[in-house]
Amino acid sequence: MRFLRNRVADPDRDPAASMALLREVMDPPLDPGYASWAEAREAAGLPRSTGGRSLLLLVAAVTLGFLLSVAAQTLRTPDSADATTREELSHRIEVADGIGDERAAQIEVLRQEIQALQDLRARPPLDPGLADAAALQAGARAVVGEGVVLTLNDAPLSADSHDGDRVFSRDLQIIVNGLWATGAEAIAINGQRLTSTSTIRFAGQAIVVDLKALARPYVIEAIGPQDQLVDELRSGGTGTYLTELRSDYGILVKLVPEDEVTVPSASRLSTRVATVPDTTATTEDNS
Amino acid sequence: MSEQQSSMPVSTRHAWRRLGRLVRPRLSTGNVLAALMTLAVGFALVTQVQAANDVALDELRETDLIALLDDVSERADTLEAEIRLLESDKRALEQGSGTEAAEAALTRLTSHQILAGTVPVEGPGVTMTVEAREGGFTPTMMIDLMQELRNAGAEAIQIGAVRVVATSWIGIEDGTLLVDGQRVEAPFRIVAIGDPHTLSGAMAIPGGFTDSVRGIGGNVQVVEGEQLVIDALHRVEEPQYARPVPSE
Amino acid sequence: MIPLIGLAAGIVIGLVLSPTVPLWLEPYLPIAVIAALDAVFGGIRAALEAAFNDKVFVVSVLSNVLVAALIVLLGNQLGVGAQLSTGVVVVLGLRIFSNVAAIRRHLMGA
Repeated sequence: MRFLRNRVADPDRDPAASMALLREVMDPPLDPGYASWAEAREAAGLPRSTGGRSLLLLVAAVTLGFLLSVAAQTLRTPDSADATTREELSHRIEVADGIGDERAAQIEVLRQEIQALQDLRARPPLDPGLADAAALQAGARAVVGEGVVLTLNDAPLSADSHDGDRVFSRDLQIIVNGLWATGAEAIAINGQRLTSTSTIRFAGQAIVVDLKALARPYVIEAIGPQDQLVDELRSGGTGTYLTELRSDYGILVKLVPEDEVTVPSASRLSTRVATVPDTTATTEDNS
Repeated sequence: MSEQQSSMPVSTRHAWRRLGRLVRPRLSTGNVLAALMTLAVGFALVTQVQAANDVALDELRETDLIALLDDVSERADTLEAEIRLLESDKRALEQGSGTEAAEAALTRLTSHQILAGTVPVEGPGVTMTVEAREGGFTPTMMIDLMQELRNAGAEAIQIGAVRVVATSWIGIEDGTLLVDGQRVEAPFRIVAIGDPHTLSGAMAIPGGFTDSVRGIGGNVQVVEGEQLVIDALHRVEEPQYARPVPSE
Repeated sequence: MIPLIGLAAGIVIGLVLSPTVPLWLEPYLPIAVIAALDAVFGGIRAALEAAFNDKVFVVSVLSNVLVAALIVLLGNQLGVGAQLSTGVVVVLGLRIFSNVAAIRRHLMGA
């Protein structure tokens, strides 16, 4: 052990001899107090070390342990009670979310079954073209076509992250508004088809589309005139907005034009209170 | 080892050779251990990165989590209702008479048409009158209004003479608000069909649309009604880009 | 051995009593703990190098904790409390690590 110390301390061998401060930080010698006391005791003919049997040391040790546990308790107690409820909440959210996803898939299957049955059995037959068109317009059919895929993600975490470095529901609303204005025919965010009852909003810091919490990154898929959509997202009003998000807040934006964008069907498509006035029956109105 | 001592500034050739010797795979306990360590580090790294990308439930405050749980549960419930509806439709189609099947089909058609905005709609809801000075009212406020109404369960919305559907957008031209490209002038008259209490309650939420209109010196009036009519229709154009995914 | 028992006893006392720390004292706790840890590792190292001295140990613990608290206090008064705390943690952390390195060298030769 002496050898190790000496090698470092030897000025001839150490090219960084002038960096005493750095060395002091990186490889500090034993506390000078200990060293000088040890030498003094050695000179007086006593053993270098005092050993650990003294009341003073015991008191110090007890105090230290006390400090340790008190500090640990004080600094983490409020947090831990909170954490269990939060954990439970997160768990329940995940479970409910999973149930929702399952049901959405079930709805998709049911719709297809009904569609098949209806083609076979419905009497008096509805105009199938009419039903198909309405289903398509309402968002009950998955659609495919040329369009764009826009991916947004929060700015990478850094020491000086601000609250503004996240993607807000407002951002998605404005982007979606811009896409509709440019002629998009169908839009989905993270696989959630936007319908005339769809909402995009914030629950705290999570973005919720149609009551489903979205995981980052946020993927907006839009079917529509590809060139115009790309223009709008690059240099139009929405493009300016995106540039601002990118340069001012560090939000990651990726735009990919694609020839085959698939937008799934929507799950929630029944109306409860709205009815069609009798004076204009559905069939008459459209025939 | 002797190389190290003889010449302090080791030649680059030596350095490269040493690196090569380091990189060459050898099967020794030390190497295997080192490989395991690096494996663990890599695994931890990737997990951490993925965790950071995951939905950030951990970052949310407790109140936010509760709100989120409400949302997610509500979604599960509405989807369940939808399933029940579809199942009864299916039963009607499978077992019922032809007329029952046709009725079910018609109900669904009507729902779709209402959502697509191609038929007039009547039902309970609210009528709103929004007064605002020219210029003070921004498109984002109208987007907020649409979101808040939809969030409160509005099934059909009309702003001015424009039916609001999925593809509806808000713009601005020479200081005049555009809804789906049509000019809409203040005071805005808005009709929303849905549960009247929920809708008017949503309009009264502090910090919401009503507050922001008041903030610009405007005024919002909400009247609940049991039999309101939305007669504006959405003009449907044949989709040019979106085609149905062929069902297998 | 005795110091270890003392440490355990202190932890148990703290857990059993679980006193409520006044709010104004809370900011000093983390720094105080780290400063104390630094002194402890210094002591262990000294013991391994056969140079341990109980008086020096106690004085170093006390002075470390006091100076750390003083720095936090001063930092808070100057409005750079967070930065100063970080600095203290970095320096003490480095010392802890290098002391642990020395301890490791003695105990395991690596």
